[in-house]
Amino acid sequence: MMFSTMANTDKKKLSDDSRQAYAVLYEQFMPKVYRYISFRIDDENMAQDLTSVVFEKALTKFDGFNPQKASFSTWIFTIARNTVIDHYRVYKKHGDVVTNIEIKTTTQYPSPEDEAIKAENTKKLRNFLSRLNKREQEAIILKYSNGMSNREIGEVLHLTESNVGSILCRTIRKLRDSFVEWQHE
Amino acid sequence: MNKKPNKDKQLLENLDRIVAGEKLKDDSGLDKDTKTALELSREMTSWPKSPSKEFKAQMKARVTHQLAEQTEREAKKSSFWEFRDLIHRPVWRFTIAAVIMAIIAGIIFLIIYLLNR
Repeated sequence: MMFSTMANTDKKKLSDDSRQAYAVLYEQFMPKVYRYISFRIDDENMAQDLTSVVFEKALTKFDGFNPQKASFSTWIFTIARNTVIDHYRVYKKHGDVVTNIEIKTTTQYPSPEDEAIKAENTKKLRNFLSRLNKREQEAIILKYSNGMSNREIGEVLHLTESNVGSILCRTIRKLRDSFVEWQHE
Repeated sequence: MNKKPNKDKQLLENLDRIVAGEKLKDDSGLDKDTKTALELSREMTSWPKSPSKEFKAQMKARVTHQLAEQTEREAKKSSFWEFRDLIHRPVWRFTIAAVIMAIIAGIIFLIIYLLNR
């Protein structure tokens, strides 16, 4: 009997600890997950909704999260990735990078002409990105949205670190070639 | 022969610096293609947006609420288990057994009394 009561107290304490841990990890990872989703989803409201869905799922599954199996980063980005895939499946769209994104210009480009050129370049680059295969897109998005290491990307995509490095090199070169070719047209 | 792996290594190392928000130390040793690739990389790191303050506040409130709800649910659940543990204690077992025995004895006594009337 005593053991049972003690086990319940321990379990409760463990849950309290895990809730605290979740709150800390949430603070750290929410902006990162949002950046990842906003890279893939054009609509700001939708990106916010999906971020919220990701953290609801994470909270429900958090007791089953095992840090010895995977880091929280890998775990949460896997949930985020699957949530985006599910979103595209529901909307019957191809899970590509959006190409019709609103281009926000900065004061770094003073003249309207420079702004227009930058906007056009960005649009084109996004277009080239959307033509890559899914794995290449994922590697690029995980790299550029949050600066993940190749090992972390590999854990999310179930690839080796060196494989991710090769994919990134090949993809960046592919993008550069398409971009340079377009500029010379 | 080793030119391509070296170029790849240079590209990846500089890419990691760019995504970490660092400046490239010295790009004089890089070829034109790698430089262009890194320029495009720098451009792409500026694409993802950060969440707005309003959204951050909204999300924080929602998560805090969800965590509080979970705590409450578990508190209810654990008070049920504590009650269950309580009724399994020897003192309570003895009391419950005594009450049941008293009820049975009462019923037997009542039956005998009614039959003898």
